[in-house]
Amino acid sequence: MTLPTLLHRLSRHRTIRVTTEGGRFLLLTLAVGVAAVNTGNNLFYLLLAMMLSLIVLSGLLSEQSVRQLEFHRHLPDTLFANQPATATLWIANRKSHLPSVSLRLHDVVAGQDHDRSIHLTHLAPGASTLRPYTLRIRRRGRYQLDGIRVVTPFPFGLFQKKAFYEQAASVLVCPGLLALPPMLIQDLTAAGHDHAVSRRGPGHSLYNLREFRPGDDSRAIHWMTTARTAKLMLKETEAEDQRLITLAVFTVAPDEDEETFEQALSIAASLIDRFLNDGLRVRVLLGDHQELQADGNETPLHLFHALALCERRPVTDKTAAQHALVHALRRSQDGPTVLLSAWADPPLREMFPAVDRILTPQTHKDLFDAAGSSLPA
Amino acid sequence: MPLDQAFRLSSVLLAATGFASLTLAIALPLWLLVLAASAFAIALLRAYCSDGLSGIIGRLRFSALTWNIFLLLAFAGFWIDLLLVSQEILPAGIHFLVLLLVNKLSNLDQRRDFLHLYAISLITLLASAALTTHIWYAPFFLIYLVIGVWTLLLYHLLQEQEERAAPGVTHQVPSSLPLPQLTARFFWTTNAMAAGAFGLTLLFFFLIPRVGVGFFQNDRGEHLRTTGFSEHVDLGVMGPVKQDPSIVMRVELPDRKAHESEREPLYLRGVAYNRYDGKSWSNSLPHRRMLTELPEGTFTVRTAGPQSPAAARPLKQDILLEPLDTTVLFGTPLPTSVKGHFLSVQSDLMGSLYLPFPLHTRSQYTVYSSAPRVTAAEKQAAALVYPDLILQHYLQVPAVNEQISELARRITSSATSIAQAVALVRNHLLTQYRYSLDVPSLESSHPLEDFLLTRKTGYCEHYATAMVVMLRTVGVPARLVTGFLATEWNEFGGYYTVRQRDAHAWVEVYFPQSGWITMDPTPPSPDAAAATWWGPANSAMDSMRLKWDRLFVHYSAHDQFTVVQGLREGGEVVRAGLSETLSALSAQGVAIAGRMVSRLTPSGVPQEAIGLLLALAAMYGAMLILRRFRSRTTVHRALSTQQQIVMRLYGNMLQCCAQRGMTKSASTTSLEFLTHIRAQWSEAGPIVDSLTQLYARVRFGHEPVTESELAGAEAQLRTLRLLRRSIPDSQQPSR
Repeated sequence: MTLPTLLHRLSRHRTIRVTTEGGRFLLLTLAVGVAAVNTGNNLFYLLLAMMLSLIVLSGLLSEQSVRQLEFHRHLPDTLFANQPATATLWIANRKSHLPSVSLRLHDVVAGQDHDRSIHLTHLAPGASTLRPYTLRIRRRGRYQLDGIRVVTPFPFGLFQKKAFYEQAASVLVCPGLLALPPMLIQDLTAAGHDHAVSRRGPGHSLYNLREFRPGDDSRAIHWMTTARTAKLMLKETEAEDQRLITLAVFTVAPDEDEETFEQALSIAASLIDRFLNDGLRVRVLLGDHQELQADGNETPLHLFHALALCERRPVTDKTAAQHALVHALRRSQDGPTVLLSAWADPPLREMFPAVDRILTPQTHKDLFDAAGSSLPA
Repeated sequence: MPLDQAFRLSSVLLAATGFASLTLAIALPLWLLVLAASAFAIALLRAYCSDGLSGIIGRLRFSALTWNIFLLLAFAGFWIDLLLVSQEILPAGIHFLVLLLVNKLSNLDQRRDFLHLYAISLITLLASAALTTHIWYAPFFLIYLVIGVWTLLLYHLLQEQEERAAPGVTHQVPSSLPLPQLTARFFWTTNAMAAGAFGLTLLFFFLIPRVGVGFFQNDRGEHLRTTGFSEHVDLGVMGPVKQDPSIVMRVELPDRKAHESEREPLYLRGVAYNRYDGKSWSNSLPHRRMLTELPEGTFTVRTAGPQSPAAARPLKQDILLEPLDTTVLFGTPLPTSVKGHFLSVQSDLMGSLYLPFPLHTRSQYTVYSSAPRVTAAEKQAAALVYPDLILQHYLQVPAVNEQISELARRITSSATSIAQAVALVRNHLLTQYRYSLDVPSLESSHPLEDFLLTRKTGYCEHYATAMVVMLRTVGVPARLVTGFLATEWNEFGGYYTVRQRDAHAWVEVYFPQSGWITMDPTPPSPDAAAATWWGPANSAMDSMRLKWDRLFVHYSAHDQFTVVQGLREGGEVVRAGLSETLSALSAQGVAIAGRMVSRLTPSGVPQEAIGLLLALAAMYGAMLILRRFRSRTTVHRALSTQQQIVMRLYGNMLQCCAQRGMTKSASTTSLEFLTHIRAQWSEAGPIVDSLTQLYARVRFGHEPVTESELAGAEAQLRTLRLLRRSIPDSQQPSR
C-alpha cells in the first residue's frame, strides 16, 4: 500500500476543516503563543494552554459526537432525473452514555459530499430517529451512493469534523419526464389512426366465435351458439383502445450531442409515460439491440430502466445501428412509428423511410430550459 | 432563559471579566472607568431586561456616524496619550483598548460584533497577564475560562439555530425567532465541559515546553528595600523596618517534620560584620571569592575552620526570596552549599553569600547548612588558644567608655570557663535590659553607651553590639550578624513566612574547635504580634499565594525537567520491579509447562510442536475473546442476551434464504425482504413473516422476548432449513 493510498484511507474516515471563526481563533492562539515564548511569562503560557485546551476539547467532543452512529437508508425503487423523490434515513446513536449533537448528514457520491439539509440538533444515547429528505438527481443512469458523511461543528464551531460511514446503495435514475404539449401527443396519436387494425383482446365488441379449447376461460363461452351448434363455442372480443405505437430511439450521436442525447431520452420517457397513461400499447426499439413492450395495464418500469441504462453510440456505428433499427422497424406489426434521434444532421427521413414521425430535441427546444435541462413534468 | 438572552449575557460577562482583571492590574483613569462601567451596565440591561426596558435603552443609542467619530477621536487620543501623556505604549494601548471595548459593547448587533468583543476581552486578559503576577489573576482566569466555554457553545448553538431557521442568512442575530430555553441538563453539561477545559488547560500549562526567547522582554521589577545588609550598617537602622509586614521570603524545611518546625525560631543569616567604630558596623574582610559550581547549579562553600562532628547532617532549606535591593543570599548558619539558577555565587571570608547582582524577580534556591555546637571540651576550657587571624580581626574594640569594659569584667568575673563567660554576658543582657523599638539611636553619638549604661532599653542591634563589644573586651572573639529571625510558621503551607519586621541581629562567638557559634542576647519582643482571628485566613491566603507563585508564575523548564526526571526514575523503579516479578513468574511457568509437556508428550513428538500448538490455541482464544468483546461493544450492546439471540436467529434466517438464492441487500428493509419472499418463495412466507415480526419487535421496538417465543423461533428456523424452494414459472428458463 502506497503512502498516498494510506493517507487517503485515513482521511476518508475522519477529516477536519477549520471554520472562519476557527481560523481566527487559531491565529489568536498563535499570537498568544509567540508572546508567551518571547516573554517567558507563565501567565501567557496559561492563556495559551486555555486556548489549546479549547481546541483539543473541540476535537474530543466532536469525535464523541460523530462516532458509534448507525445508519440505514431507504431509497425509492425508481427515480426520475430532476424530479424530487423522498428518501429516508434512519439514524441511531449507539453510544450508551453520550449524545450526538449538532450533526449534519451528507450523502457521499463518487467521493463528493451532497448536502441533503439533514440537521440533527440532539440525538440522545441509544436513541434513533428517522429523517425524510428530498433526493433530486440531475443525471439518469445508475446512481451509486458510497456512504454517509457526518459533519459536526460541535461544540464551539471552530472546526468541522467529518466522519464517513460506509452505506453503499444504488438506485436507477430514469430520464426526466417532461411536460409534453398536448398538440404533440395528439399529432403523434393521430398518425396511428391510419394503421388501426382490429384484433382480439379485452373489450366488449364481438371479434370472433370459435370452438372452445382446453385452458380457455369458461366464462367466455357463448351459450346461445353452443346450444345452436351443439359444440362448446367461445366468444372472442375485440381489443378496445389498445392500439400499438412504436417508439424507436436512434442511439447514435456525436460526442458534442451528449446533452441532446439525454434530452432525446427524456422525450422518449415522457412519451412512453403519456402513451401508457392514454391506454396505448408501447413498443420501444432502443438502438439495434433492445425491443421492449408495455401496455397501460402494467407498470412500465422495465422501459424506464432500459432508458436509464441506454448508452449513446459513436457516429462510427451509424450504419450498423441504422440497418438494425430499420430491420426492427420492418418487423413492426401495426400502429404508428415514431423515431427519436439526438443527432439531427443525417437525413433521418431517408435513413428511416418507414417511420411516421421523426422527433429531435432540436425541433422541440421549448421543452427544455435555457441550461438545457428538462423542465419537470 | 432563552438561548439568545443567555448568549448575550454570557458575551457581556466575558468582556466584563477581562475588563475587571485589567482594572486590577493597572490604574485606569476615573473617567475611563466610569465610561466603561456605564457601557457594561447598558449592555447588561439590554441583554437581561424585559422588552419594555430594552426598547427604552435601544432608543438611547447613538448613530453609526457618532460611533465612527468616537473611534477616530479615540485613535487620535491614543497617539496623544503615547506621545504626550503617559509616553508609554502599554498604558496608552490599554486606554485605547478600553475605548474600543466601550464601542463594541454599545454596538452589539451583528455576529462579527460579538467576535470582535471576544477578541478584545482576550486582549484585556492578556494585558492584565502582562502587568501582574498576583494571585487574584487566578480567579479571574478561571471565571473567564468558564464563561468562555459558555459563550462559545452558545454562539455555536445560536448560529446553528439560525442556519436551520433561515439557511444562507447567518450574519444577523434575529430576535423574532422562537429559540430554545436553557435547561438544567444543558447547564450542568456546559459546566462539565468547562471543568474538562480547565483540566486540559492545567495539563497543557505544565506540559508546554518553556522556551523563553526574550527578544522584547521587559525585565524591570520593583525591589523591596531592605536595611542592615550593606557594607556599613549604622547602629539602629533596623528599628524603622521592625514594623514593616512586607514578606521578604518564605522558607521550607523539607527534611524536617511540620510539628518540629512549628514553634522553633529559625535564624536566617545574611551578613556578618567584624569592625565596630562606636556608631556603625563594617566588614574589614570584604574580599569575596567565587564558589565552585559542582555539579551544575550547586555552589559549595569552602569551610576554613574546623567542622564539628555534631553538625554532620546538614539542614536543607528551600527559600523563595522576593526581589530585594541587596545581593545577599540568606540561609541558616552556617551555609555549606547553595543550589539555584544563578550564574555565580560569591562568599566573603565571614561566610556570607552574595550574588553578582540583585535579583529582578522572585527566586527560589536551596541552602544546605551545618550549625556547629560547642564541643564538651571547649565548654569546660578555662582558656582557649585562638589563631592569629581570628585575634587580628575579631577582637577589635572601639574607644568605648571604660564603664563598659568594667561591666564586662564584672559580669564574667565568676566564670570558670570561656563558654560560661559567654553565657553570663548573654544572660545579663537577656535579663537586665528591656526590649523597645522606641530608641532614637541614629541621633545618638554614643548609642552603645546609651543602651548599656543610660537607657537600658533597645532592640536586637543594641543587644548584639553590646554582647560583641563586651565579649571582645574580655578577650573572646565575636562578630555581629544581621539577617532574619523567622518565627511565623504557616501551618497551611508548611513553611516560615519571613517579613521585613523579622529583620534581626545576633552574635557569633568563636571557639577554636567548634567554630562560630550562634548566640542571641535579645529578649523576645513584648510587642510581638498577637494571634488574631484572621490570622489563619491570612496564613491560608499566603499559602495559596506561594503555591500560585511556585506552580504558575515561576514554573520553569527546570521544573519540567525535574518532573520528567522524577517520572523516569519512578518508572525505572517500577519497570525493574515488574520485570523481576515477571521474569520470576515466567521462569516458574516455563518450568511447570516444561514438566507437563514432557509428561504428556508421547515419545517422538518434538516439544517445539507442542509449544507451537499451544501458542496457536492461545491466539485463537484471544481472537474469540476479542470478537466477543467487539460484538458486545458495537451494535448489540444495549440489548439483552435473549434479544441478541433473536437477532442471531434472524441472521441465520437470512443466511438460509441466501442459500436458496434470495439475498437481502443492504438497502432492502426487513419488510421489503418479507414481501419479496412472499412473492418468490410462498412456502417460506409464514415462517419469514413470523421471524421478521419478532426481529422488528426486538431490534427496533426493544421489546423483551419470552423463552417460549425463542423456542418457537428456533423451531421455525429448523423448518425453514428443511424447506426446498420451488422456482416460480416466470423464473424458469424457457425451453
